[in-house]
Amino acid sequence: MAPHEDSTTALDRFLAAHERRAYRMAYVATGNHEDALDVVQDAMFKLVQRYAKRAEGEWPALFTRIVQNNLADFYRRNAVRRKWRQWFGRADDDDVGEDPLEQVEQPGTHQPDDQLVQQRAMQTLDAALKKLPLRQQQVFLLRQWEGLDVAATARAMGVSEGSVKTHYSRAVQSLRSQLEDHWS
Amino acid sequence: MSDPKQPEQVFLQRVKSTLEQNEAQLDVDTLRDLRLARHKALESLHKPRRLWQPVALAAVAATVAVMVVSLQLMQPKTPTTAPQIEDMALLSASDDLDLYENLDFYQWLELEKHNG
Repeated sequence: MAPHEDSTTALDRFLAAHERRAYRMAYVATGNHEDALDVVQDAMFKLVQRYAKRAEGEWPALFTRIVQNNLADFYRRNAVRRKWRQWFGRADDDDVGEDPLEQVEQPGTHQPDDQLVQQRAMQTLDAALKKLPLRQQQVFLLRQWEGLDVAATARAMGVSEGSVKTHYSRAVQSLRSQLEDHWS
Repeated sequence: MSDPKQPEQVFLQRVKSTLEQNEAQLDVDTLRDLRLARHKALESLHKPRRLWQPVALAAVAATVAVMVVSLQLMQPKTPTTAPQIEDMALLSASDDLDLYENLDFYQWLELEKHNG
């Protein structure tokens, strides 16, 4: 088998194993399918084109870092767009609306079975995560979901370890206070 | 005495399991889109890199630079409005100014000498 076929197979296997989680993280951050898919697709291209020749063991950290950078870029672009809209007196549709947690179905509106309970738990968690500032959201998901330690999270996000600890602590506090009523 | 961290651990465990279930239950369309995105990215690995692109960009930039410089050089030189050196010498010679102011008188005096 040619060497490039080996790396293609390995990259395919790696991306297939990581794309869902990357997409879910991007979805929480961007709030919609198209942008989340763009973020992940761009990260895939960058990994393949720039780091295919790197050791396979380096790919997870590289891919995580690329996705996080793409999300930060997405936020920066959106912030600029929002400012332009404000200057031209156009309300930002993304910012106007109800509290996402309010839009989640309240318990007791239906007879819940296990699937519905689970679905509701996901919706409330998604809504609560979306309300977190991006840095807190990223730190929380990397630490809690990806299982990265403080040092690895700091490397993935390009911030200090102290900053990771602060953001994580605030995120946990905020999520607990937001979800306490819904998950009790 | 109960561990004060326990409620937080229980909460975090629930968050984690919810996130994992959510990941496992992505819809068919999203999974298809992700698969397509992955295949496109992997295809780019085999495409020959466009090495000519940076060379072409550099060539275009160099051509534009040469044209701009050429146009600058080909423009006719406009006469300078600054005073010439000899004018400067004349203007700076303040001691001879009365000669020029009374030129008519000196010409008349010279004529009188010849006639007289």
